[in-house]
Amino acid sequence: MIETNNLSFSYDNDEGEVFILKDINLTIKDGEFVSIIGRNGSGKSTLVKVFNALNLPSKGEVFVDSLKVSDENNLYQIRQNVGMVFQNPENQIVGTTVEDDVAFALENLGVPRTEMVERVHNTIDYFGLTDKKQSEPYSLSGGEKQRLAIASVMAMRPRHLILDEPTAMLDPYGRKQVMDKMFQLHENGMTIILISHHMEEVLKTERTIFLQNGEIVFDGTPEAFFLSKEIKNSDIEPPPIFQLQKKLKKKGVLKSYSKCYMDIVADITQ
Amino acid sequence: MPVQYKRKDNMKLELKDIAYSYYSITGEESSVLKDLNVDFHSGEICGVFGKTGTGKTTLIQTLNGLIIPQTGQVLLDGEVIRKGKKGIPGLRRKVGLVFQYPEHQIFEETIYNEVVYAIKDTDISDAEKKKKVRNALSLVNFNPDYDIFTRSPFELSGGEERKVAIASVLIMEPELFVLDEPSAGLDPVSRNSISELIRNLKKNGTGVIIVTHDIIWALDIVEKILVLKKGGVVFHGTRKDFMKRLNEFYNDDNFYLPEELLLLIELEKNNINIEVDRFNISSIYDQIIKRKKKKE
Repeated sequence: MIETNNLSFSYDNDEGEVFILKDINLTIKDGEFVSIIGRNGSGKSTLVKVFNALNLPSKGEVFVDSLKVSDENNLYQIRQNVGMVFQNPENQIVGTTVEDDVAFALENLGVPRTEMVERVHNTIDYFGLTDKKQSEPYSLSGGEKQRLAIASVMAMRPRHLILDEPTAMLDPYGRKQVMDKMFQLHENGMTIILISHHMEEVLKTERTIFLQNGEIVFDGTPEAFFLSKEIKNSDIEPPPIFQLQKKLKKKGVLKSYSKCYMDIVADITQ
Repeated sequence: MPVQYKRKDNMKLELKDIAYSYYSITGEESSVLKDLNVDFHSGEICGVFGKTGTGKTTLIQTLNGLIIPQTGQVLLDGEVIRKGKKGIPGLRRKVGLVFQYPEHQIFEETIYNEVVYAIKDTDISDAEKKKKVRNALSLVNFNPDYDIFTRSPFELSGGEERKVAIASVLIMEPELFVLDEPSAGLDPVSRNSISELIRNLKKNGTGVIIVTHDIIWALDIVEKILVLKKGGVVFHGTRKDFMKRLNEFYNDDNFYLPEELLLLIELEKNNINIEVDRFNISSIYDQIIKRKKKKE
Protein backbone atom coordinates (compact mmCIF):
# COMPACT_ATOMS: atom_id res chain seq x y z
CA MET A 1 0.00 0.00 0.00
CA ILE A 2 1.17 3.51 -0.80
CA GLU A 3 -0.05 6.30 1.43
CA THR A 4 0.63 10.03 1.32
CA ASN A 5 -0.18 12.42 4.18
CA ASN A 6 -0.27 16.12 3.22
CA LEU A 7 2.59 15.55 0.82
CA SER A 8 4.16 18.69 -0.62
CA PHE A 9 7.20 18.93 -2.84
CA SER A 10 8.93 22.22 -3.56
CA TYR A 11 12.23 23.75 -4.53
CA ASP A 12 13.70 27.18 -3.87
CA ASN A 13 14.64 29.68 -6.56
CA ASP A 14 15.29 33.45 -6.62
CA GLU A 15 11.62 34.24 -6.16
CA GLY A 16 11.18 31.93 -3.18
CA GLU A 17 9.58 28.54 -2.75
CA VAL A 18 8.07 26.93 -5.85
CA PHE A 19 5.55 24.15 -5.17
CA ILE A 20 5.41 21.22 -7.58
CA LEU A 21 3.07 19.20 -5.36
CA LYS A 22 0.65 20.65 -2.82
CA ASP A 23 -1.07 18.76 0.01
CA ILE A 24 -1.46 15.43 -1.71
CA ASN A 25 -3.52 12.93 0.27
CA LEU A 26 -3.77 9.61 -1.41
CA THR A 27 -4.02 5.92 -0.66
CA ILE A 28 -3.24 3.34 -3.32
CA LYS A 29 -4.13 -0.18 -2.21
CA ASP A 30 -2.27 -3.32 -3.22
CA GLY A 31 -3.41 -4.61 -6.59
CA GLU A 32 -5.04 -1.40 -7.80
CA PHE A 33 -4.64 -0.28 -11.44
CA VAL A 34 -4.33 3.49 -11.29
CA SER A 35 -3.77 6.05 -14.05
CA ILE A 36 -2.28 9.46 -13.31
CA ILE A 37 -2.97 12.19 -15.83
CA GLY A 38 -2.40 15.91 -16.21
CA ARG A 39 -0.60 18.40 -18.44
CA ASN A 40 3.15 18.58 -18.75
CA GLY A 41 4.42 20.20 -15.57
CA SER A 42 1.41 19.26 -13.46
CA GLY A 43 3.54 17.16 -11.10
CA LYS A 44 2.81 13.60 -12.29
CA SER A 45 6.39 12.42 -12.60
CA THR A 46 7.44 14.26 -9.44
CA LEU A 47 4.69 12.46 -7.53
CA VAL A 48 5.56 8.93 -8.65
CA LYS A 49 9.23 9.55 -7.96
CA VAL A 50 8.30 10.14 -4.31
CA PHE A 51 6.75 6.65 -4.30
CA ASN A 52 10.15 5.05 -4.73
CA ALA A 53 12.12 7.66 -2.80
CA LEU A 54 13.81 9.23 -5.83
CA ASN A 55 12.19 12.43 -4.55
CA LEU A 56 11.73 13.06 -0.84
CA PRO A 57 8.75 15.03 0.51
CA SER A 58 9.41 18.69 1.41
CA LYS A 59 6.42 18.57 3.76
CA GLY A 60 4.18 15.75 4.90
CA GLU A 61 5.03 12.07 4.74
CA VAL A 62 4.72 9.13 2.41
CA PHE A 63 4.58 5.47 3.42
CA VAL A 64 5.26 2.57 1.10
CA ASP A 65 4.13 -0.72 2.63
CA SER A 66 4.24 1.12 6.00
CA LEU A 67 7.85 2.22 5.42
CA LYS A 68 8.54 5.94 5.73
CA VAL A 69 10.18 7.19 2.51
CA SER A 70 12.08 9.95 4.30
CA ASP A 71 13.87 7.45 6.53
CA GLU A 72 17.15 6.61 4.85
CA ASN A 73 17.21 3.13 6.40
CA ASN A 74 14.14 2.22 4.36
CA LEU A 75 15.57 3.28 1.01
CA TYR A 76 16.80 -0.13 -0.08
CA GLN A 77 13.58 -1.94 0.81
CA ILE A 78 11.37 0.73 -0.81
CA ARG A 79 13.30 0.63 -4.10
CA GLN A 80 12.99 -3.15 -4.00
CA ASN A 81 9.21 -2.93 -3.50
CA VAL A 82 8.52 -0.24 -6.08
CA GLY A 83 9.69 -0.88 -9.65
CA MET A 84 9.84 2.00 -12.10
CA VAL A 85 9.78 2.07 -15.90
CA PHE A 86 10.35 5.28 -17.86
CA GLN A 87 9.24 6.62 -21.23
CA ASN A 88 12.35 5.83 -23.22
CA PRO A 89 13.42 2.20 -22.79
CA GLU A 90 16.83 2.99 -24.25
CA ASN A 91 17.67 5.05 -21.19
CA GLN A 92 17.33 2.08 -18.88
CA ILE A 93 18.65 -0.85 -20.88
CA VAL A 94 22.21 -1.57 -19.76
CA GLY A 95 22.98 -5.16 -20.79
CA THR A 96 24.73 -6.20 -23.99
CA THR A 97 22.18 -8.96 -24.55
CA VAL A 98 18.56 -9.33 -23.49
CA GLU A 99 19.61 -11.99 -20.97
CA ASP A 100 22.36 -9.79 -19.52
CA ASP A 101 20.00 -6.88 -19.12
CA VAL A 102 17.48 -8.88 -17.11
CA ALA A 103 20.30 -10.38 -15.01
CA PHE A 104 21.96 -7.03 -14.29
CA ALA A 105 19.93 -5.95 -11.26
CA LEU A 106 19.76 -9.48 -9.85
CA GLU A 107 23.52 -9.72 -9.94
CA ASN A 108 23.78 -6.43 -8.08
CA LEU A 109 21.26 -7.62 -5.53
CA GLY A 110 23.44 -10.66 -4.90
CA VAL A 111 20.84 -13.25 -5.90
CA PRO A 112 22.53 -16.71 -5.87
CA ARG A 113 23.57 -17.85 -9.34
CA THR A 114 21.21 -20.82 -9.78
CA GLU A 115 18.24 -18.79 -8.65
CA MET A 116 19.30 -15.89 -10.84
CA VAL A 117 19.48 -18.04 -13.99
CA GLU A 118 16.05 -19.46 -13.27
CA ARG A 119 14.52 -16.05 -12.62
CA VAL A 120 16.07 -14.54 -15.74
CA HIS A 121 14.71 -17.30 -17.94
CA ASN A 122 11.26 -17.27 -16.40
CA THR A 123 11.00 -13.51 -16.73
CA ILE A 124 12.15 -13.51 -20.35
CA ASP A 125 9.63 -16.24 -21.20
CA TYR A 126 6.86 -14.38 -19.41
CA PHE A 127 7.53 -11.25 -21.45
CA GLY A 128 7.56 -13.15 -24.73
CA LEU A 129 11.23 -12.52 -25.48
CA THR A 130 12.36 -16.17 -25.45
CA ASP A 131 13.58 -16.03 -29.08
CA LYS A 132 15.51 -12.87 -28.35
CA LYS A 133 17.46 -14.07 -25.30
CA GLN A 134 20.83 -13.71 -27.00
CA SER A 135 19.88 -10.66 -29.08
CA GLU A 136 21.52 -7.31 -28.60
CA PRO A 137 18.93 -4.92 -27.16
CA TYR A 138 19.43 -2.33 -29.92
CA SER A 139 18.17 -4.84 -32.51
CA LEU A 140 14.76 -5.10 -30.81
CA SER A 141 11.67 -3.19 -31.93
CA GLY A 142 10.36 -0.36 -29.74
CA GLY A 143 7.66 -2.55 -28.20
CA GLU A 144 10.17 -5.31 -27.50
CA LYS A 145 12.63 -2.86 -25.92
CA GLN A 146 9.95 -1.52 -23.61
CA ARG A 147 8.92 -5.06 -22.67
CA LEU A 148 12.58 -5.79 -21.91
CA ALA A 149 12.75 -2.70 -19.69
CA ILE A 150 9.66 -3.87 -17.81
CA ALA A 151 11.03 -7.43 -17.64
CA SER A 152 14.31 -6.24 -16.10
CA VAL A 153 12.38 -4.35 -13.43
CA MET A 154 10.00 -7.27 -12.84
CA ALA A 155 12.87 -9.72 -12.37
CA MET A 156 13.54 -7.92 -9.08
CA ARG A 157 10.01 -8.96 -8.02
CA PRO A 158 8.65 -5.59 -6.93
CA ARG A 159 5.21 -5.40 -5.31
CA HIS A 160 4.23 -2.26 -7.14
CA LEU A 161 5.04 -1.20 -10.69
CA ILE A 162 5.13 2.42 -11.80
CA LEU A 163 5.20 3.22 -15.52
CA ASP A 164 5.85 6.81 -16.62
CA GLU A 165 4.43 7.15 -20.15
CA PRO A 166 5.74 3.74 -21.16
CA THR A 167 3.96 3.75 -24.53
CA ALA A 168 4.66 7.34 -25.61
CA MET A 169 7.33 6.33 -28.10
CA LEU A 170 5.66 3.18 -29.42
CA ASP A 171 3.46 2.46 -32.42
CA PRO A 172 -0.09 1.14 -31.84
CA TYR A 173 1.08 -2.46 -32.04
CA GLY A 174 3.92 -1.91 -29.57
CA ARG A 175 1.48 -0.08 -27.30
CA LYS A 176 -0.90 -2.99 -27.36
CA GLN A 177 1.89 -5.41 -26.48
CA VAL A 178 2.92 -3.33 -23.46
CA MET A 179 -0.68 -2.70 -22.34
CA ASP A 180 -1.47 -6.43 -22.57
CA LYS A 181 1.47 -7.17 -20.28
CA MET A 182 0.27 -4.55 -17.81
CA PHE A 183 -3.18 -6.18 -17.66
CA GLN A 184 -1.63 -9.58 -17.16
CA LEU A 185 0.50 -8.31 -14.26
CA HIS A 186 -2.52 -6.57 -12.78
CA GLU A 187 -4.58 -9.79 -12.96
CA ASN A 188 -1.81 -11.50 -11.03
CA GLY A 189 -2.25 -8.99 -8.25
CA MET A 190 0.43 -6.42 -9.01
CA THR A 191 -0.23 -2.76 -8.19
CA ILE A 192 0.09 -0.77 -11.44
CA ILE A 193 0.48 2.99 -11.51
CA LEU A 194 0.43 4.33 -15.06
CA ILE A 195 1.18 7.86 -16.20
CA SER A 196 -0.30 8.36 -19.65
CA HIS A 197 -1.50 11.00 -22.11
CA HIS A 198 -3.44 8.40 -24.07
CA MET A 199 -7.05 8.50 -22.93
CA GLU A 200 -7.79 5.11 -24.55
CA GLU A 201 -5.27 3.63 -22.10
CA VAL A 202 -6.66 5.61 -19.17
CA LEU A 203 -10.13 4.21 -19.91
CA LYS A 204 -8.75 0.71 -19.35
CA THR A 205 -7.56 1.41 -15.80
CA GLU A 206 -9.68 1.18 -12.64
CA ARG A 207 -8.99 4.54 -11.11
CA THR A 208 -7.91 7.91 -12.50
CA ILE A 209 -6.10 10.65 -10.62
CA PHE A 210 -6.07 14.01 -12.38
CA LEU A 211 -3.40 16.50 -11.33
CA GLN A 212 -3.51 20.22 -12.04
CA ASN A 213 -0.74 22.53 -10.85
CA GLY A 214 0.43 19.99 -8.30
CA GLU A 215 -2.96 19.32 -6.77
CA ILE A 216 -5.36 16.41 -7.12
CA VAL A 217 -8.50 17.81 -8.73
CA PHE A 218 -10.14 14.47 -9.54
CA ASP A 219 -9.87 10.97 -8.09
CA GLY A 220 -12.35 8.35 -9.27
CA THR A 221 -13.11 5.89 -12.07
CA PRO A 222 -11.98 6.90 -15.57
CA GLU A 223 -15.61 6.72 -16.72
CA ALA A 224 -16.62 9.21 -14.02
CA PHE A 225 -13.67 11.39 -15.02
CA PHE A 226 -14.74 11.46 -18.67
CA LEU A 227 -18.17 12.69 -17.55
CA SER A 228 -16.86 15.15 -14.94
CA LYS A 229 -16.84 18.94 -14.88
CA GLU A 230 -13.08 18.76 -14.31
CA ILE A 231 -12.46 17.32 -17.78
CA LYS A 232 -14.82 19.92 -19.29
CA ASN A 233 -12.71 22.66 -17.75
CA SER A 234 -9.49 21.15 -19.08
CA ASP A 235 -8.17 20.65 -22.60
CA ILE A 236 -8.42 16.87 -22.31
CA GLU A 237 -11.00 15.07 -24.40
CA PRO A 238 -12.51 11.65 -23.65
CA PRO A 239 -11.40 9.00 -26.16
CA PRO A 240 -13.70 8.85 -29.24
CA ILE A 241 -14.84 5.36 -28.27
CA PHE A 242 -16.10 6.73 -24.94
CA GLN A 243 -17.80 9.70 -26.62
CA LEU A 244 -19.74 7.28 -28.80
CA GLN A 245 -20.70 5.17 -25.77
CA LYS A 246 -21.93 8.26 -23.94
CA LYS A 247 -24.36 9.09 -26.75
CA LEU A 248 -25.54 5.49 -27.06
CA LYS A 249 -26.04 5.14 -23.33
CA LYS A 250 -28.08 8.34 -23.15
CA LYS A 251 -30.38 6.88 -25.80
CA GLY A 252 -30.62 3.61 -23.86
CA VAL A 253 -28.86 1.51 -26.53
CA LEU A 254 -26.07 0.70 -24.07
CA LYS A 255 -26.77 -0.47 -20.55
CA SER A 256 -23.36 0.41 -19.19
CA TYR A 257 -19.93 1.68 -20.16
CA SER A 258 -17.37 -0.86 -21.36
CA LYS A 259 -13.60 -0.76 -21.48
CA CYS A 260 -13.30 -3.01 -24.53
CA TYR A 261 -14.88 -2.65 -27.99
CA MET A 262 -16.00 -6.31 -27.96
CA ASP A 263 -18.18 -5.66 -24.91
CA ILE A 264 -19.68 -2.57 -26.55
CA VAL A 265 -20.72 -4.60 -29.60
CA ALA A 266 -22.12 -7.36 -27.36
CA ASP A 267 -24.16 -4.77 -25.47
CA ILE A 268 -25.48 -3.19 -28.70
CA THR A 269 -26.45 -6.47 -30.36
CA GLN A 270 -28.09 -8.01 -27.30
CA MET B 1 -6.37 34.14 -42.63
CA PRO B 2 -2.63 34.34 -43.14
CA VAL B 3 -1.09 35.76 -46.28
CA GLN B 4 -0.21 32.79 -48.39
CA TYR B 5 2.27 32.06 -51.08
CA LYS B 6 0.74 31.13 -54.40
CA ARG B 7 1.08 27.92 -56.36
CA LYS B 8 1.18 27.95 -60.12
CA ASP B 9 0.88 24.44 -61.43
CA ASN B 10 0.00 20.99 -60.32
CA MET B 11 3.01 19.06 -59.26
CA LYS B 12 3.35 15.32 -59.40
CA LEU B 13 6.01 13.31 -57.64
CA GLU B 14 6.27 9.67 -58.65
CA LEU B 15 8.20 6.77 -57.22
CA LYS B 16 8.72 4.04 -59.79
CA ASP B 17 9.83 0.46 -59.00
CA ILE B 18 11.74 1.64 -55.96
CA ALA B 19 13.82 -0.82 -53.97
CA TYR B 20 16.10 0.05 -51.09
CA SER B 21 18.13 -2.11 -48.71
CA TYR B 22 20.37 -1.36 -45.79
CA TYR B 23 23.56 -3.33 -45.35
CA SER B 24 25.11 -4.15 -42.01
CA ILE B 25 28.87 -4.11 -41.40
CA THR B 26 28.97 -7.82 -42.06
CA GLY B 27 27.33 -7.26 -45.42
CA GLU B 28 23.98 -8.66 -44.36
CA GLU B 29 21.18 -7.20 -46.45
CA SER B 30 17.92 -6.00 -44.96
CA SER B 31 15.42 -4.93 -47.54
CA VAL B 32 13.34 -1.90 -46.52
CA LEU B 33 11.47 -0.93 -49.66
CA LYS B 34 10.68 -3.21 -52.56
CA ASP B 35 8.75 -2.82 -55.80
CA LEU B 36 7.29 0.39 -54.56
CA ASN B 37 5.15 2.35 -57.00
CA VAL B 38 3.27 5.37 -55.77
CA ASP B 39 2.58 8.99 -56.70
CA PHE B 40 1.79 12.15 -54.78
CA HIS B 41 0.21 15.38 -56.02
CA SER B 42 0.21 18.97 -54.89
CA GLY B 43 -3.07 20.06 -53.32
CA GLU B 44 -3.72 16.62 -51.89
CA ILE B 45 -3.44 15.35 -48.31
CA CYS B 46 -2.20 11.79 -48.02
CA GLY B 47 -1.81 9.74 -44.82
CA VAL B 48 0.87 7.05 -44.69
CA PHE B 49 0.09 4.25 -42.23
CA GLY B 50 1.98 1.12 -41.27
CA LYS B 51 3.75 -0.57 -38.42
CA THR B 52 7.19 0.54 -37.25
CA GLY B 53 9.84 -0.92 -39.52
CA THR B 54 7.72 -1.07 -42.67
CA GLY B 55 9.74 1.59 -44.45
CA LYS B 56 7.64 4.72 -43.87
CA THR B 57 10.60 6.87 -42.90
CA THR B 58 12.77 5.47 -45.70
CA LEU B 59 9.96 6.27 -48.13
CA ILE B 60 9.73 9.92 -47.15
CA GLN B 61 13.51 10.29 -47.15
CA THR B 62 13.45 8.99 -50.72
CA LEU B 63 10.90 11.68 -51.59
CA ASN B 64 13.33 14.52 -50.99
CA GLY B 65 16.53 12.82 -52.03
CA LEU B 66 17.98 12.09 -48.59
CA ILE B 67 18.07 8.47 -49.61
CA ILE B 68 18.90 7.40 -53.16
CA PRO B 69 17.22 4.08 -53.90
CA GLN B 70 19.40 1.32 -55.32
CA THR B 71 16.77 0.53 -57.93
CA GLY B 72 13.96 2.56 -59.43
CA GLN B 73 13.38 6.19 -60.20
CA VAL B 74 12.00 9.32 -58.60
CA LEU B 75 10.15 11.46 -61.15
CA LEU B 76 9.18 15.08 -60.69
CA ASP B 77 6.46 16.09 -63.17
CA GLY B 78 7.51 13.20 -65.37
CA GLU B 79 11.20 14.01 -65.31
CA VAL B 80 13.66 11.63 -63.72
CA ILE B 81 15.58 13.13 -60.81
CA ARG B 82 19.28 12.60 -61.40
CA LYS B 83 21.75 11.94 -58.66
CA GLY B 84 24.08 14.75 -57.68
CA LYS B 85 23.97 18.52 -58.01
CA LYS B 86 21.70 18.62 -61.04
CA GLY B 87 18.74 16.83 -59.53
CA ILE B 88 18.72 16.61 -55.77
CA PRO B 89 18.85 20.31 -54.72
CA GLY B 90 15.91 21.08 -57.02
CA LEU B 91 13.97 18.21 -55.51
CA ARG B 92 14.70 19.41 -51.97
CA ARG B 93 13.43 22.89 -52.81
CA LYS B 94 10.11 21.41 -53.87
CA VAL B 95 9.75 18.76 -51.18
CA GLY B 96 9.93 20.00 -47.59
CA LEU B 97 10.53 17.37 -44.93
CA VAL B 98 9.75 17.78 -41.23
CA PHE B 99 11.22 15.01 -39.09
CA GLN B 100 9.66 13.44 -36.04
CA TYR B 101 10.01 15.70 -32.96
CA PRO B 102 11.43 18.55 -35.10
CA GLU B 103 11.62 20.76 -31.99
CA HIS B 104 14.63 18.70 -30.89
CA GLN B 105 16.55 20.22 -33.78
CA ILE B 106 15.99 23.85 -32.81
CA PHE B 107 19.31 25.59 -32.20
CA GLU B 108 19.08 29.35 -32.86
CA GLU B 109 18.79 31.95 -30.12
CA THR B 110 15.73 33.77 -31.36
CA ILE B 111 12.55 32.61 -33.05
CA TYR B 112 13.28 34.83 -36.07
CA ASN B 113 16.77 33.39 -36.59
CA GLU B 114 15.43 29.87 -36.32
CA VAL B 115 12.69 30.35 -38.92
CA VAL B 116 14.77 32.41 -41.36
CA TYR B 117 17.70 29.97 -41.31
CA ALA B 118 17.04 28.22 -44.63
CA ILE B 119 16.90 31.49 -46.62
CA LYS B 120 19.40 33.42 -44.48
CA ASP B 121 22.22 33.34 -47.04
CA THR B 122 20.12 34.02 -50.13
CA ASP B 123 20.02 37.43 -51.81
CA ILE B 124 16.46 38.07 -50.69
CA SER B 125 16.20 41.53 -49.05
CA ASP B 126 15.88 41.79 -45.28
CA ALA B 127 12.40 43.26 -45.57
CA GLU B 128 11.32 40.37 -47.76
CA LYS B 129 12.87 37.86 -45.36
CA LYS B 130 10.92 39.35 -42.47
CA LYS B 131 7.75 39.13 -44.48
CA LYS B 132 8.42 35.49 -45.30
CA VAL B 133 9.11 34.65 -41.65
CA ARG B 134 5.84 36.28 -40.59
CA ASN B 135 3.96 34.41 -43.31
CA ALA B 136 5.42 31.08 -42.31
CA LEU B 137 4.62 31.70 -38.64
CA SER B 138 1.08 32.78 -39.40
CA LEU B 139 0.54 29.65 -41.50
CA VAL B 140 1.26 27.56 -38.40
CA ASN B 141 -1.00 29.81 -36.27
CA PHE B 142 1.89 30.94 -34.12
CA ASN B 143 0.94 33.39 -31.38
CA PRO B 144 1.39 36.84 -33.04
CA ASP B 145 1.93 38.55 -29.66
CA TYR B 146 5.41 37.11 -29.20
CA ASP B 147 8.40 39.29 -30.01
CA ILE B 148 10.12 36.94 -32.43
CA PHE B 149 13.29 39.06 -32.61
CA THR B 150 14.13 38.79 -28.92
CA ARG B 151 12.35 35.71 -27.69
CA SER B 152 14.23 32.41 -27.50
CA PRO B 153 12.52 29.38 -29.04
CA PHE B 154 13.68 27.38 -26.01
CA GLU B 155 11.29 29.29 -23.73
CA LEU B 156 8.27 28.08 -25.67
CA SER B 157 5.96 25.20 -24.81
CA GLY B 158 6.41 21.90 -26.67
CA GLY B 159 3.51 22.64 -29.04
CA GLU B 160 4.79 26.13 -29.82
CA GLU B 161 8.32 24.84 -30.38
CA ARG B 162 6.99 22.37 -32.91
CA LYS B 163 5.19 25.18 -34.75
CA VAL B 164 8.45 27.14 -34.99
CA ALA B 165 10.27 24.06 -36.28
CA ILE B 166 7.58 23.47 -38.91
CA ALA B 167 7.63 27.15 -39.94
CA SER B 168 11.38 26.93 -40.52
CA VAL B 169 10.74 24.31 -43.23
CA LEU B 170 7.66 26.11 -44.60
CA ILE B 171 9.74 29.21 -45.29
CA MET B 172 11.21 27.35 -48.28
CA GLU B 173 7.69 27.32 -49.74
CA PRO B 174 7.74 23.65 -50.69
CA GLU B 175 5.14 22.28 -53.09
CA LEU B 176 5.02 19.00 -51.26
CA PHE B 177 5.21 19.07 -47.48
CA VAL B 178 6.07 15.85 -45.66
CA LEU B 179 5.50 15.51 -41.91
CA ASP B 180 6.74 12.53 -39.88
CA GLU B 181 4.46 11.93 -36.85
CA PRO B 182 3.40 15.58 -36.50
CA SER B 183 0.89 14.91 -33.71
CA ALA B 184 3.12 12.73 -31.51
CA GLY B 185 3.33 13.92 -27.92
CA LEU B 186 1.03 16.93 -28.39
CA ASP B 187 -2.00 17.86 -26.30
CA PRO B 188 -5.41 18.08 -28.06
CA VAL B 189 -5.23 21.86 -28.56
CA SER B 190 -1.84 21.68 -30.27
CA ARG B 191 -3.00 18.71 -32.31
CA ASN B 192 -5.96 20.69 -33.59
CA SER B 193 -3.73 23.52 -34.65
CA ILE B 194 -1.53 21.11 -36.62
CA SER B 195 -4.70 19.88 -38.36
CA GLU B 196 -5.59 23.47 -39.19
CA LEU B 197 -2.13 24.11 -40.60
CA ILE B 198 -2.40 21.07 -42.88
CA ARG B 199 -5.80 22.23 -44.15
CA ASN B 200 -4.38 25.73 -44.75
CA LEU B 201 -1.55 24.29 -46.83
CA LYS B 202 -3.94 22.29 -48.94
CA LYS B 203 -6.03 25.41 -49.57
CA ASN B 204 -3.10 27.18 -51.16
CA GLY B 205 -2.27 24.18 -53.30
CA THR B 206 0.51 22.52 -51.35
CA GLY B 207 0.51 18.74 -51.21
CA VAL B 208 0.81 17.25 -47.74
CA ILE B 209 2.00 13.79 -46.75
CA ILE B 210 1.53 12.78 -43.12
CA VAL B 211 3.27 9.71 -41.77
CA THR B 212 1.45 8.78 -38.58
CA HIS B 213 0.36 6.10 -36.13
CA ASP B 214 -2.41 8.41 -34.96
CA ILE B 215 -4.97 7.00 -37.38
CA ILE B 216 -8.16 8.38 -35.82
CA TRP B 217 -6.69 11.90 -35.80
CA ALA B 218 -5.40 11.60 -39.37
CA LEU B 219 -8.70 10.27 -40.76
CA ASP B 220 -10.24 13.68 -40.01
CA ILE B 221 -7.89 15.46 -42.42
CA VAL B 222 -6.54 13.10 -45.09
CA GLU B 223 -8.13 12.46 -48.48
CA LYS B 224 -5.91 9.63 -49.57
CA ILE B 225 -4.30 6.83 -47.63
CA LEU B 226 -1.23 4.74 -48.28
CA VAL B 227 -0.68 1.63 -46.19
CA LEU B 228 2.77 0.08 -46.22
CA LYS B 229 3.60 -3.47 -45.21
CA LYS B 230 7.10 -4.88 -45.25
CA GLY B 231 8.32 -2.21 -47.64
CA GLY B 232 5.53 -2.55 -50.19
CA VAL B 233 2.20 -0.85 -50.80
CA VAL B 234 -0.78 -2.88 -49.61
CA PHE B 235 -3.29 -0.10 -50.04
CA HIS B 236 -3.33 3.22 -51.84
CA GLY B 237 -6.66 4.88 -52.36
CA THR B 238 -9.26 7.24 -51.00
CA ARG B 239 -10.19 7.49 -47.36
CA LYS B 240 -13.65 6.15 -48.22
CA ASP B 241 -12.20 2.99 -49.81
CA PHE B 242 -9.90 2.51 -46.86
CA MET B 243 -12.85 2.57 -44.47
CA LYS B 244 -14.76 0.14 -46.70
CA ARG B 245 -11.86 -2.30 -46.78
CA LEU B 246 -10.98 -2.06 -43.09
CA ASN B 247 -11.36 -5.75 -42.39
CA GLU B 248 -8.52 -6.52 -44.81
CA PHE B 249 -6.20 -5.09 -42.18
CA TYR B 250 -7.86 -6.89 -39.32
CA ASN B 251 -5.92 -9.40 -37.26
CA ASP B 252 -2.78 -8.48 -39.08
CA ASP B 253 0.30 -8.46 -36.91
CA ASN B 254 1.85 -6.03 -39.30
CA PHE B 255 -0.68 -3.28 -38.86
CA TYR B 256 -2.65 -2.84 -35.68
CA LEU B 257 -5.87 -0.86 -35.99
CA PRO B 258 -7.08 1.39 -33.16
CA GLU B 259 -10.02 0.10 -31.12
CA GLU B 260 -12.39 2.61 -32.70
CA LEU B 261 -11.91 0.91 -36.07
CA LEU B 262 -11.95 -2.58 -34.57
CA LEU B 263 -15.35 -1.64 -33.15
CA LEU B 264 -16.65 -0.89 -36.66
CA ILE B 265 -15.31 -4.22 -37.96
CA GLU B 266 -16.90 -6.09 -35.06
CA LEU B 267 -20.24 -4.35 -35.68
CA GLU B 268 -20.07 -5.41 -39.32
CA LYS B 269 -19.49 -9.02 -38.27
CA ASN B 270 -22.74 -8.70 -36.34
CA ASN B 271 -24.54 -7.41 -39.43
CA ILE B 272 -24.48 -3.79 -38.42
CA ASN B 273 -22.72 -2.17 -41.36
CA ILE B 274 -21.63 1.37 -40.68
CA GLU B 275 -20.77 3.52 -43.67
CA VAL B 276 -18.45 6.33 -42.72
CA ASP B 277 -15.30 7.78 -44.22
CA ARG B 278 -13.75 8.55 -40.81
CA PHE B 279 -14.58 7.93 -37.14
CA ASN B 280 -17.51 10.30 -37.25
CA ILE B 281 -19.22 9.82 -33.90
CA SER B 282 -22.59 11.37 -34.72
CA SER B 283 -22.89 9.50 -38.02
CA ILE B 284 -21.95 6.18 -36.43
CA TYR B 285 -24.45 6.87 -33.66
CA ASP B 286 -27.23 7.66 -36.15
CA GLN B 287 -26.59 4.48 -38.12
CA ILE B 288 -26.58 2.28 -35.02
CA ILE B 289 -29.86 3.79 -33.85
CA LYS B 290 -31.41 3.26 -37.30
CA ARG B 291 -30.36 -0.38 -37.37
CA LYS B 292 -31.70 -0.95 -33.88
CA LYS B 293 -35.08 0.52 -34.85
CA LYS B 294 -35.28 -1.65 -37.97
CA LYS B 295 -34.69 -4.78 -35.92
CA GLU B 296 -37.45 -3.91 -33.50
